[in-house]
Amino acid sequence: MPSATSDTARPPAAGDAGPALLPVKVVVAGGFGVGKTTLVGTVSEIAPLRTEAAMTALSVGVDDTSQVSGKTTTTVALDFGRARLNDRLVLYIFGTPGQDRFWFMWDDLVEGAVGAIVLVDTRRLADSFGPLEYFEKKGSPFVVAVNEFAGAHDYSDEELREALGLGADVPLLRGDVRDRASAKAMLVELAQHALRRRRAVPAP
Amino acid sequence: MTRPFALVGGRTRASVPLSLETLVTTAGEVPARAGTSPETLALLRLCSAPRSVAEVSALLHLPLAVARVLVSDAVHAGLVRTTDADVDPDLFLEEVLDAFRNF
Repeated sequence: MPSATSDTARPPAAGDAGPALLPVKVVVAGGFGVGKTTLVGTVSEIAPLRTEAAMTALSVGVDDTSQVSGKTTTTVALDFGRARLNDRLVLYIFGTPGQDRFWFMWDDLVEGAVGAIVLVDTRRLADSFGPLEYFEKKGSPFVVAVNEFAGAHDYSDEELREALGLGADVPLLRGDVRDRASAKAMLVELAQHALRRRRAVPAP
Repeated sequence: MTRPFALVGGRTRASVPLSLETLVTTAGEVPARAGTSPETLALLRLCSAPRSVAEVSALLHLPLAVARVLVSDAVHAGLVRTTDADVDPDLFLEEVLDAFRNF
């Protein structure tokens, strides 16, 4: 759920013309090198930006700093883009950090999002298992988009669904993340899916 | 060069809930009063057009947690206001779908 609007100290009307602009958030997930940042760039009307989230945490999992006792600070880079959709809406599209161990950042990312596009490279299907599992558990709407790399094996939809363990209700599409029409199709499919899910009777 | 966390007194938790995409807009005139930090002034200039918290962080070169505290403090001081998409989710999604179809 999106957090509440804080309209503290609403200013005088001067310079406050028109309806408020609302943010729309979409998350792009998938394995390392699958094209997340490329998709962000295709959708964005500005050069993609990067924000650094400094995470201070007790050692997370096993990594190079695990021999250091106590707190460690990890910097997680998030790439994102922006696209003005119309008078009222502005889209922010965020790429998830590449490594699964930054799951703690994902909650922050996914909160309030329309949903996620999980990108899949058919040469490295297993790389998408982590993201798929995350969104399934979280109950967030997501679509799966195969980024069609030249030379990649062409699996049928049935083969892919089985290999990825996708439910019949999860949209599966194919495209090229460099192509705007492909990116648009992914966004439309995601919004349709999110809307269908909201309207459906919740599963028991 | 000031250490980023010194700007916000070492605090890393904003007191206003701010998502990455929460839009921040400068509320009216930028104050000329003394004591407004350079970072706050930069924030107010940046947000003369709505900017997300993520953009504030990226464009002011501040870690996300620091940007959040800066924005949160500015909200409390009445210098900026924030907007989230907290409208009816069904209507909002329909609007989003429509916008994506015209993308």
